[in-house]
Amino acid sequence: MSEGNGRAPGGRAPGGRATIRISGLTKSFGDQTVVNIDELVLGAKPVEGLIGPNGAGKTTLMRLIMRSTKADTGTVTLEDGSSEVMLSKLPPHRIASLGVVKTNQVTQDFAGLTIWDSLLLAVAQRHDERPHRVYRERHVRESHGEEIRSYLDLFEFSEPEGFAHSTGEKKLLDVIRCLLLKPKILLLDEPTAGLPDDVTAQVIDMLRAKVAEGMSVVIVEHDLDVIWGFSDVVHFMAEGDVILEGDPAYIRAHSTVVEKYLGSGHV
Amino acid sequence: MSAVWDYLFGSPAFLIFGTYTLMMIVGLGILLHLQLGVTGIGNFGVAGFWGAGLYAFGIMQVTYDVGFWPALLVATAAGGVLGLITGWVIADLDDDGVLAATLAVATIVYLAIDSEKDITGGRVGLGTIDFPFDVGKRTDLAWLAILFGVVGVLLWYARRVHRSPYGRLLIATGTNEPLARSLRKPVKRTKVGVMALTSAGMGALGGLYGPIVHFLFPTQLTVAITVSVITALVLGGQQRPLGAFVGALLTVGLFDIVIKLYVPLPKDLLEHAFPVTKQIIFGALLIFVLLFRPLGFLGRMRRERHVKGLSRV
Ligand SMILES: Nc1ncnc2c1ncn2[C@@H]1O[C@H](COP(=O)(O)OP(=O)(O)OP(=O)(O)O)[C@@H](O)[C@H]1O
Ligand SMILES: [Mg+2]
Repeated sequence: MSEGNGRAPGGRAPGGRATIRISGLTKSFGDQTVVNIDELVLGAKPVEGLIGPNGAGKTTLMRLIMRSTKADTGTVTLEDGSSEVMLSKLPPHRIASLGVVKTNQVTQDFAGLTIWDSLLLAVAQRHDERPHRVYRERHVRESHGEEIRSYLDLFEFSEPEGFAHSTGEKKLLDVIRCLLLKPKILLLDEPTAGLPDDVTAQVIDMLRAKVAEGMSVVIVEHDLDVIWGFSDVVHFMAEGDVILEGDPAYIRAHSTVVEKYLGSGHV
Repeated sequence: MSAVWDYLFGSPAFLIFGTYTLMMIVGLGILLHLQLGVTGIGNFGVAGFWGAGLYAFGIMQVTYDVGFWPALLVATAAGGVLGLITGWVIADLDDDGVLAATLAVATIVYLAIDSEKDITGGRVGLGTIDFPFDVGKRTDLAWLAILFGVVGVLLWYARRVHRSPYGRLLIATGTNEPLARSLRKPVKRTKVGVMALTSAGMGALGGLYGPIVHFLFPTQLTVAITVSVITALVLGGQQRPLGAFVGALLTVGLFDIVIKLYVPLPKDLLEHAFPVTKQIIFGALLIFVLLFRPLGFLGRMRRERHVKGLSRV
């Protein structure tokens, strides 16, 4: 189905990077087929871009991987070292526990939880959250307070000890929460949309640092400058399928295809 | 001095019974606070979980002649198991579904107790149940002290929950389930767990009510209990551990204790018009609060206060 040069190598990547293998994945809403992918491997390279026009099915694809939306057919498998786990059979919280985590395109937050609350929630382990552990707070703060503070020091929140107010703050919080889970593969759905340029640059720097430590990133982004500068591989998606994949230079060389979907001036 | 004493405590039996009721409402209200105010589970079947405990206790004591502690344990387990099943059923329902399902649970408990006459005595009643100890005239005062203690422990627990990772998990589950799931939180298990735990508490309170009434009738478990608890909690502040206490003082405390015992209303009025007027005033108060202060007198949860301490980490 897809053509390309620098195709993501099938299966495990060298160096033991965890990959997500997608097979025969379909999803329709009513009579509209939104995702229809034969074979796709994500995460083989440290940073992979996923681009395509509005409505191409990028968000839906990511939601299918996380099982926040259920697929009609097909399987999603996490291949990590020598182990294989069928993600498409697990509940969403188990998928996150296995190290596959996603940020949200539409801003999500917990009404009633402060910034610190939200981050402490992310780091707290199952055994910290038992009903009889009513004196466990100190332990969680002591073991993760430094780490949380180091993230909060990177960005300017209007009220760091209170609630996140703007959409931008909530968007940042969403990314930080995910990073605190120490994911193996982080799926980012337009993480910098709506953020000012300098903050966008900061976020990308922060992500780069995490990638250097071994995390893989799959990023959906409409700002193609971010994609060209950040990605090792780009998957171009249209009408529910990945129709082109390769390194940024390769995708840009196929300007006719990209411009057909995104309009001119993008490549 | 003794005139004042007589005025205040001249009818100690009524005063003590009123205070028992008050403590029951507060205790149930604190548990409902954990369900509704913290986890967002609108339980409209409080009477059912409480009643399951009450009757389990009664059946153990009367029919099987079991001692106080094992009977109380069975009462707690009855509430807990019912909560576990209910939690499992409602975990995937929306808010309206939860209300309907929990009301259904309470109705089923009521109907089961009403119809299974061989075990429960039906409308003939089940009794007698006595206090597990006898210290003469002071026995009911001692029981009241125990109830105060139990409610105190519940209040302590609820306040601790607000300051613990567990409470944070409950709040997260209540406000954004998909987001909580995406952060590795087992949302369904959390909801089933909190329902089992708090319903066990309601069952235990039911058991403790047994000795107070001595004789159990199905009419003791009507929706009136649920309505009193919800009214108290919503008036006082559903998101605050002390909400049920404040609300219960304003409702049961004011009407069933202060006015009933200390305002010299004519007996006729007290017996006929008063109960109805009381319900109307409760209803009106509830509407007023929901319109102008939806989170009750105490208002919203204050998370910032807990977080302040972080500067000292
Ligand atoms: N829950 C839903 N119900 C019905 N249709 C949906 C639903 N979610 C997505 N769609 C439709 O599926 C298509 C793909 O949506 P999706 O959000 O995956 O696209 P996208 O590539 O992320 O687009 P964008 O770049 O605008 O974010 C769109 O036509 C959208 O309207
Ligand atoms: Mg999208």
